[in-house]
Amino acid sequence: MEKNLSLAEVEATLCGLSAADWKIIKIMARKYAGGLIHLSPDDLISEAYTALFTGDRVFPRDARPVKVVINAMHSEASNCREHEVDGAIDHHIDVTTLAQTMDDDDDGGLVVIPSTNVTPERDVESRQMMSAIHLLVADDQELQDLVAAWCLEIRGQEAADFLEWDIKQYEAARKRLVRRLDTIKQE
Amino acid sequence: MSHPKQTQERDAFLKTFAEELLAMPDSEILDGDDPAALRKENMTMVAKAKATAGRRRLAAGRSGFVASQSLARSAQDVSVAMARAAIETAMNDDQYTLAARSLGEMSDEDILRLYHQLERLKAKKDAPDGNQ
Repeated sequence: MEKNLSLAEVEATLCGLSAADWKIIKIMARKYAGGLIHLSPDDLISEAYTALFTGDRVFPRDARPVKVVINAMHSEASNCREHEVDGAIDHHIDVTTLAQTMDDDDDGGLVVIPSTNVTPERDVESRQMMSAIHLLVADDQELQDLVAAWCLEIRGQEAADFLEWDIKQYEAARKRLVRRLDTIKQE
Repeated sequence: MSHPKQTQERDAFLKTFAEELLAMPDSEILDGDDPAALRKENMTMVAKAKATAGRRRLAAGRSGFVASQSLARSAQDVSVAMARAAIETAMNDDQYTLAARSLGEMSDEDILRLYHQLERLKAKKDAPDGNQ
């Protein structure tokens, strides 16, 4: 049996994702697309699915499908972020004001596209995402500790032990944090 | 530009966040949302992505076809005299090594065949990852 899914299997697998899987994909898309100019969360999901359909990204047979999609979104977002940050144009500079100051009869051929979609929220989410999260939990010491643990990739029982909490305390804090993170939404 | 440490921290946080979400029971993830509506959204996205992938594959296929067609056409359109002149030029070019053979002894067919080979070599060399 092939190591990766065929295109027909990719379609069947994506169609077979549960409602909860799809919601997780949407949540992660909002986080990964934070601050990207060229990809909205929906665009990001679409690009990840498309890459799996075209075969640009493989779909390992033994991997959990929702995880494959999340990884694909992460890669697509990273590529897009690199392109936006390292490209010749800094897309994060709002050039609306610049465009307005140009003379009307200027026929120099310069085309300026106002980046009006660069909202402060998007900028904060990408470039200072961690600062935004720290702000989000500034009033709750437990959540600050939990964020610190997650930044070290420690979760679940291991995190509870690390933080010297019992698992119930961990679960309660986790629920609070997930709810708060959901308040940072992509406009 | 993102500071590398910030990026690492963000990636680690998001990775752990995703793992937490994946470990949560469906009821907690759904949190009262309508599963049927969510599934419908996913199906719509699958259909959209499938169509996009099809269009991209078609476009890639067409551009490959157009490129090879244009190469073939340019090679076909050349006259024997022009092909002979191009080969003579190539013989003086250090980038190509042609067997020492008098062009005058070659048939028109051989001249055109050699010219086509030369064109293919040039096209390969000019490709972004082409080698000499």
